[in-house]
Amino acid sequence: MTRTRKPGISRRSTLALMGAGAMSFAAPWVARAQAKTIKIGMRPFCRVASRNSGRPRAMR
Amino acid sequence: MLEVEKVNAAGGLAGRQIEMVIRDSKGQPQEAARIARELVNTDGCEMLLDGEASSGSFAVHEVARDLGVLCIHTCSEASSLTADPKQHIPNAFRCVRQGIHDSIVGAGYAAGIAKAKSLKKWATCSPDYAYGRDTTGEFVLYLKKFAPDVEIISESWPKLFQPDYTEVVTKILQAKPQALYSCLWGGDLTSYIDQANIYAMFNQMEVFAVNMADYTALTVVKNLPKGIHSGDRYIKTFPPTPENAAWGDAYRAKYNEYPTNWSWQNATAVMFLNEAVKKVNSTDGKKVAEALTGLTIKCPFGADGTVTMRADDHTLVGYAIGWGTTIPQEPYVPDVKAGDWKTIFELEAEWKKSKGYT
Repeated sequence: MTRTRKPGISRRSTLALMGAGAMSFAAPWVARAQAKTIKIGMRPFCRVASRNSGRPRAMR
Repeated sequence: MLEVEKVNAAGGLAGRQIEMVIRDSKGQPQEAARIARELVNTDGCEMLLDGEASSGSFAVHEVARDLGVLCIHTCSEASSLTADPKQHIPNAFRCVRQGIHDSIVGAGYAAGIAKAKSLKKWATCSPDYAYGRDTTGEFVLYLKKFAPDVEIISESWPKLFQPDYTEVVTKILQAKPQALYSCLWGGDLTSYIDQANIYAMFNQMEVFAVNMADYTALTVVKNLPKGIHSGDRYIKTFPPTPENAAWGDAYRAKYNEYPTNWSWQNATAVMFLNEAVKKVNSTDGKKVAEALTGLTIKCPFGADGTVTMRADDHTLVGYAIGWGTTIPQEPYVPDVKAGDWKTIFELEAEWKKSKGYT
């Protein structure tokens, strides 16, 4: 599964703005969501250029 | 992603499906640090795969130090990231080949050719940042150790992503070296070779380009010269095992392109995570980090079919490493001479001592 970030305010940000009460309410729900999937953050390491797509942006 | 899909198909990490959250820092260290923090604090990521260049990796490393999140670096080859004990944190690992390992093996290979062909006058041409400076320095150090007659008569340090290498090429030609070492890579290397071909540079000296033997470069150069000496990055014929060839074929079948050096390193990171989680039956970052420390796994990219996350400096060892010469068509580097890890370990230990790391 891959998820890219969409513009706008995320559920977490909204809850954070709503304050501690909302967080208390939301915490068990978030915990259940985390139990389902494990998120691994990644910065893509490179894309390889073909002959026609210019220079590779790979980093080392 | 090939490995992530395999893990998910097999039930995930301790029963949890992996969800990759991907951000692009555009190669900016400050942005890399900001994104790393955001991935953990805002997006709820419990682990980080850090594909930053050396400059960005040190920044992400500090974020990992601060947050305590499990972090595996999958791109930076600058040796000090894990060799320098000041950098050591229990929750960060490097699953990448390393400059000092490449330099030891490359210098041994190059010294053999230097002696056989009496190549005494050398030039260097490498990118002007931490990886280029450090790796070139380490290569020259060991080249002179193995072939004391070698003399460096010209150094060039083009900027990263420099588009025009005319000045660099002409400077090298005017110096008339017998051999050239370069750790240019990716688009910089392919541009350099295409431009140097105009001057027939590769007929005038032996060229040692550590990053040539990667499909990233091999398939992009317009006219790949025969006889460039290169360290292997990723080619499906080295290590010469059915497991490695099958992995390379599976990658190509899925993505319609060859894997790269970064492909196997990230794949290996996911393999390590999978095995470490199995070992502790938990995705808790601290427990997984403890399991990763000193862990040996079966791996198609291992010199002997396994790789190890070394316990004392949290860095990858035992991966296939070797040098050979190019031909203009597949398999591109038909005869790779494998490096010897016993020698690498001995000389790396000496090097660490000389740097004050141990």
